Amino acid sequence: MRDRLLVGTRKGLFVFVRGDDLKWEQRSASFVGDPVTMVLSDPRDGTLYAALDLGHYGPKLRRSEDEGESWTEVGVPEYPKGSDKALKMIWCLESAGDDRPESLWAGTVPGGLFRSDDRGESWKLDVGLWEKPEREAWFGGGYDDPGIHSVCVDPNDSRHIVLGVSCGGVWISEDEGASWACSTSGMYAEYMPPERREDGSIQDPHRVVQCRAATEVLWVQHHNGVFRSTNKGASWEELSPSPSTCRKHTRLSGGSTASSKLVDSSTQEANSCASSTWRRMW
Amino acid sequence: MTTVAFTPNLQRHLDCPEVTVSAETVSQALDAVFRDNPRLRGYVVDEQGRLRQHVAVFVGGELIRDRVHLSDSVAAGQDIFVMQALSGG
Repeated sequence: MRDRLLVGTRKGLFVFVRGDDLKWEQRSASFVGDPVTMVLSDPRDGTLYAALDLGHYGPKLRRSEDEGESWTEVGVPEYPKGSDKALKMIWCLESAGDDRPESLWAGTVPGGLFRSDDRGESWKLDVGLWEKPEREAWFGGGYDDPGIHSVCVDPNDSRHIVLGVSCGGVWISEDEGASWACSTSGMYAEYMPPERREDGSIQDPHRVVQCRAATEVLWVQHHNGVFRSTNKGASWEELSPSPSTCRKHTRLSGGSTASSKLVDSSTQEANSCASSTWRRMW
Repeated sequence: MTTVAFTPNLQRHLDCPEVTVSAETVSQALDAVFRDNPRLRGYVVDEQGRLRQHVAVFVGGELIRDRVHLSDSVAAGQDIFVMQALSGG
């Protein structure tokens, strides 16, 4: 449904719908007073998932099968027993592909990737990523701990997954999470000493999106610029001039829809799959 | 026997009535409660079993000291209260 907005806020989840008169009206409010850290409207079956961060009682996950009229509590990712880590936040939720209808991915703080194969009832840590030695070099960017905020599942191949880690680079798996490689060739970090500026695991992507119309194209809103890949993340080029060069915390949106444009929400400029420059939209 | 009671604030999220258990430590008391109310566990402790940062537990009116292993003793007749801390004001 293109005329529905799900707005997750620190004070609840609000759903707006747009009628024939093109006016937005609030349809519902859920979890009023509670921080909502992520919302997923599963395109496969219409199920809604809302991740909460209950200040006193920790992160929780709720699922709705009636467009938010009622919610059921399901499971949350858990770090390995005996680890010094515990879940602080569910930062990212994504469906795991049309051919895996029960499966979801969750990116978390601190720096974990988890998978559910039962619509959120239970979760398993992606051990392949967790055990990468480079993970020890990740550090917090905005939060005290590193976090996984972007999970891009290739619409044409559910085994091909691209992650964004802040701060920990862009990671790619071609075998559904069994093995991973950091892939940041072409990126640089101007906030690091010169000898470290091209290190993969210290790059700070703020958001990674994949074009659904041309899946070989991905964009990264990076701490110091916008980068684009035209080869599924194997290498990256900086988009120049980047509208975010002087707005380091610009949010990018639009690239994960059927539209083949990436839109900078602060400047209303768009980058298409085939172009390395930006064009004002309005 | 020990009575374990929970802040009414928790009732916003799930049912957690007062429960009477037999226990010598806070850990034993809470484990007994969680056995019959497993969803409640994640609201009080994290997955490592540590008391959540903004949850406070009182035994006989005293704040417990061991927030990691919950090993504080519970004497006969002492009650346990699980509260939300006032962290942040």
